[in-house]
Amino acid sequence: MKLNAFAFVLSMGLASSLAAPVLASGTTAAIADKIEVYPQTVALRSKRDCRQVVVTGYFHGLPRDLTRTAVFSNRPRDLVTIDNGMMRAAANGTEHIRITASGRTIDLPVSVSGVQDPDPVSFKFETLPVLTRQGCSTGSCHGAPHGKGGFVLSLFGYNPQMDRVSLTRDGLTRRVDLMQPADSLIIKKPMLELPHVGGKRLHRQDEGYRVLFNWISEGAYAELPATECSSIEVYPKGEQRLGPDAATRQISVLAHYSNGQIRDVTRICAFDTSSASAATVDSLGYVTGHSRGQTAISVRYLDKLLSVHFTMTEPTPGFKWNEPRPTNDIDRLVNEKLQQLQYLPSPVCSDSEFVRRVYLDLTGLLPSADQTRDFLADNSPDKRVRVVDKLLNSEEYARFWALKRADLMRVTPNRLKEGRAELYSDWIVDSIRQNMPYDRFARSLVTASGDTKKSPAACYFVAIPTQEERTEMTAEIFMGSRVECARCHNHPFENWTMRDYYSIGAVFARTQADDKMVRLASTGEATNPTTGEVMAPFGVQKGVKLGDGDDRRVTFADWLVQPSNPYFARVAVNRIWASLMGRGIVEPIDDFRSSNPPSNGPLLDHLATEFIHSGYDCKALIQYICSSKTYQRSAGTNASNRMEDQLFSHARVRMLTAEQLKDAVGQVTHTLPSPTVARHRYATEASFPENSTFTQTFGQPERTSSCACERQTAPTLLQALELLNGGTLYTMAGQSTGYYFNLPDDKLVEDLYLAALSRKPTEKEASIARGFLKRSVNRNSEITDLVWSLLNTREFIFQH
Amino acid sequence: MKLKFLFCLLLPTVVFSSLSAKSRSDVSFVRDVAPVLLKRCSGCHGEKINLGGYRVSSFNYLMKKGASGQAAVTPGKPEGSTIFRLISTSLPSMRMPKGDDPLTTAQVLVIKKWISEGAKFDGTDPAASLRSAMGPRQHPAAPTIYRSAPPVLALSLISGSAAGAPVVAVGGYNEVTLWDASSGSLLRRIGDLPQRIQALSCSADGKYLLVAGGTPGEYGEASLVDLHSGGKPTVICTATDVLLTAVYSQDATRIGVGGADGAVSVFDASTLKKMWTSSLHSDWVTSISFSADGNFVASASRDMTVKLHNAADGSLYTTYSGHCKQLGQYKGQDPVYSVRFLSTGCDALSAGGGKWIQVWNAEKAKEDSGSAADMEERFAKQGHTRYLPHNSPLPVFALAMSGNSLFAASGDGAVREFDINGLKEVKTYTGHKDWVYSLDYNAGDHRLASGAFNGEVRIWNTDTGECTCRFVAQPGAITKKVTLR
Repeated sequence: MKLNAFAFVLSMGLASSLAAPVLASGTTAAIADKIEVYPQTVALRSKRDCRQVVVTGYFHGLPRDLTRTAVFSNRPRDLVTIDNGMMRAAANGTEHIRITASGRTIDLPVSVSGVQDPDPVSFKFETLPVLTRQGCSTGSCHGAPHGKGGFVLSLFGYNPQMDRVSLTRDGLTRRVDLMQPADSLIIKKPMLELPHVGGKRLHRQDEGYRVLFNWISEGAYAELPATECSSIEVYPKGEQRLGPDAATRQISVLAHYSNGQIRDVTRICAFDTSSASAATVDSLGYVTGHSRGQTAISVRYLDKLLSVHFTMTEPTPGFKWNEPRPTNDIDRLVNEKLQQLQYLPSPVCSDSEFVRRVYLDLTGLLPSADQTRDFLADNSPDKRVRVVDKLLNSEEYARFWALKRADLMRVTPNRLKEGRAELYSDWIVDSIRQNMPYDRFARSLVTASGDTKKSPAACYFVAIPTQEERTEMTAEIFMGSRVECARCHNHPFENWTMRDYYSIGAVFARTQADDKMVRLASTGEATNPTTGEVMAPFGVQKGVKLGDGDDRRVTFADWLVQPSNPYFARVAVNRIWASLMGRGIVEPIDDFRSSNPPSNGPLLDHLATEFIHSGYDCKALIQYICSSKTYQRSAGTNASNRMEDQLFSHARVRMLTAEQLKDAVGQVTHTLPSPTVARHRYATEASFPENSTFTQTFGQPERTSSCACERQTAPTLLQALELLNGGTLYTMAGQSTGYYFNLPDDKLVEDLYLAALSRKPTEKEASIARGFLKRSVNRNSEITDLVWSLLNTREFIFQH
Repeated sequence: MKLKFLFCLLLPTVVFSSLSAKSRSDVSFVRDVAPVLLKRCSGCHGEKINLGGYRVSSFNYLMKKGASGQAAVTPGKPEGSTIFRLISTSLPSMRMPKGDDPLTTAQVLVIKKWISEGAKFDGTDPAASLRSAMGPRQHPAAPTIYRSAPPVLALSLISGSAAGAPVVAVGGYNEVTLWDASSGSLLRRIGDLPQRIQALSCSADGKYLLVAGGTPGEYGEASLVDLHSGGKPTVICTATDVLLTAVYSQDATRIGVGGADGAVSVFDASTLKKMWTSSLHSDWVTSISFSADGNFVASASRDMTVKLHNAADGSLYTTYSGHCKQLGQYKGQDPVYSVRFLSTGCDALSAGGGKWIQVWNAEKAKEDSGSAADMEERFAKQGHTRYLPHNSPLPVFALAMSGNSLFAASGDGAVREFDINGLKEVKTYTGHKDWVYSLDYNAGDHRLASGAFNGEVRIWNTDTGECTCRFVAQPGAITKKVTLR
């Protein structure tokens, strides 16, 4: 009890600290607690060298950007010029520049050297990034496969050789004018001095203009040194907070090159935001928060991409946190996010809602009328935990969750012939039944070999026959990464390069599969088609040389399932979370990239850590999630969280999946046999998709892709027609009379409501239903109509 | 009284200043206003994009109301003219060009003055596009010293110079330069020419030089230089984008001109009157050739076709599509950069991207083209074309030939010599360290000239295959170091 009160005080404390900057609002002249400058020293080493300086003030512990208001003084020798915190070399020497902001001062040692030496523009490291930054080489403009208006660039400059030719030699050399650089088409067009379909893309004061102009002035040299950009470094790092009184932040970007050089690329990289309503970023890397929400500000330089995650908070008038004690850390982390963004969560759902939800989530089936009755009658405080335990140990759980995995593994008899699909499916069911640790499950698949009838896991390689598909599917299933873009060019929104793609390809280059056998060959390589480079298998530690006899897949699996792997556990927990909550913490669930941030990063990290500590125990994770208040929240919303749909402040209403719907109709109409008798008649438990119009209409995947998106979740007109006019539903409703005919009306109505909606009818509902049955014109058709009506309610079709 | 006195004092000043403005009047729409509109306004209010329902692409359009319903120009009243108000307002949100730098004070004043003076049109056709209404440009003087060597996109050996040293004309910047082809020294500079020179062609008697060029995306011009008189070049025609080719017919009676606007025009060589224009290509016309029998004009294009026109009226005879075949052994879709008729009959050669130089006959090309009815059969058919393998991954930009000898300049830096009848390569001229764009051959002197992107010109002896002279065509440059870009 004391603890409870303590948590409450703590949470109130958090809420009031949020309000603190508001109090300071309007008093911008307030003295900062302290100010910080980044970097702590500046050393400029050549004529065009520059460095973005960021000045941050701390007010009540919260950071506020002061870069643009700071005064830079004590500069007797004018070694540098400064605009918006960007320091550029002007003269050689050293001095201590005094920075004054919000009543505080700090000294910044600055040294400048090498100003006298030539510092030509680098085509590869400046010109090409500028073309990306100005939008020239995007996929919708000249970066399209055939370019635009006869001018073709490689997408985001992934092919410097091609761009070199395109800019200087193609088009009968019309694009650059070495004699009068400003007369070059690549300047006049984006400056809109000539008609340009892409519009105004370049201004004279842009750094991009300076780079292009100087590059052409110096002779448009397009040398392609072997040096590569090895990484970029972005300041500030990690999760950042913005608020009404501290709504701006300056970003600084450094590029590290393979020759050890480091350069500030803040003014030549490209910035983007994943949610412009939360915050935008300008071309100088200046972030401005707008309204409550989260966004990833992505920074692209050549093939490198990093994101900084910003949370913009706004105080809501009258907001008062009301959530009772969290059950576990899930609730704590979800609540922290909700408090930060000021959303009030919905209350815990009723027993009826819970029992329906948990049965559907864990077994894909509805609780029977009797199961619901028993659960509702149970008064023990731990009944929710017990029902989860019971369901996790049921055969239905194993079958239903196997179906989800089999969707991704493409288990269909179309490719897996002569009973292999069934064997493979059974193997997956068994792995879930045994609660096989997920790392072992993944390893078993990616390292499987042998006769596919004796070792069904080897079907993994039969179901996906080509090296490209294996690369893409493995990355998508276990790394949550959509790497297919990198087959032809570096990924536009992520760090996946063609080298990575063909390195993963190299892992499977020696795995040969026919219908019957998966064998390891002693030769076979993957080659990057643009460079001709033979790729080393992905995941091999630097300096380790694999022998010809070594199974590359084992090395890859070692890398994949190690606890430090940034993808594996996160992707797995995100999939399980999404199955239970209707939405991933990262969404889409197989599109992990820094520019697509998790809606609650600490929560994802926590779940992944728990998962790893439990030994990749899926059942334990499900039990953990299901016991949280977060899982048990009502689908009803309040004024505060009505529009909120990413932070799990309320349960998500979603339509039953095709298989769930089909079985639910079967259950309510009592047309499904007992599970122990005829397992295969349950859609949620089938080995592979049935060829049924009904399930296809409701989005059952054909299992031709490893993307979770293959399962259609968007409602369609066809679905509405199927429910209203379709034969399946009506026929089954008709067959339900066999069970309901002889029941007394009271019992009939109650059973029907319990079976379909997992709750007892209200008095009004019951009397309407009884009145309808009492007409006694034709009891069969009255029952059919009643059942049909209930099956057509939203309450039945949706999970809530 | 006092006031009146003051007024008297002031009056002459006012009158004087307004008079002086009048005396400097003559603001020309074509000369002064149109270039400003083109450079600063037509990006958003042009032929393709017209924001606000308003465009300035011709004088007539300029005077028309946009979507706002307000006339942009009220003659005589700059303050009442929307266009003037929007370019001169101090409100950043209102000022045009939107989101761009303001017009310079001089530009604003020119427009103001033109409106005050009645917003008169002094061109020939008020409905014509601003670009074409502007007429031939006054070219700036060529730079005395070149800061960089411009790519040699055009060169021509001057015929009939046997008496003295051999001479080669090279395209420069706003000029053509003449060089001693044996020593590489600069002989003469011919100015008053467009910014870039894309094509040069010398008359057989060595008296005239045809020049085609312009400013990319803006302006094209074909001119005739009288090499003997040394007078100002005569402008044959202008265009809205660079002109890429200008050639004499084999009997020197006609001139063909084509360029980036996709048009092919034929002029009478003696009167310089236009005979016809054909605009059938969907992309740049890169090269033109007249057949020896005088019946055909062939035009090569970046649209991957060669079109054959009837020389008399410019009507389409047929389209040769050997450079964009989807089926068969010789498939590929490539731009065509050069077409040449042989000196007898109507056999032609064409080349560009792709692995082959193609040898074909104009009349048979029409038979191969067939009709819509036999399309399938035609696609499967090989056709009559003979293919000369050209072993370079980069395109052929220029062809030169005489008799059975053919030379091809390639992006890979080599010039290759072929035996046309034998369909084989006989010699390779290597030495250029950059893309070769231009080529000329003088059979009488056994002399071949080639020009590359890095500004280098090489003269070759075709008997020995040796490079007899090389120089960088960069007037005023102190060092002639050849560097690779």
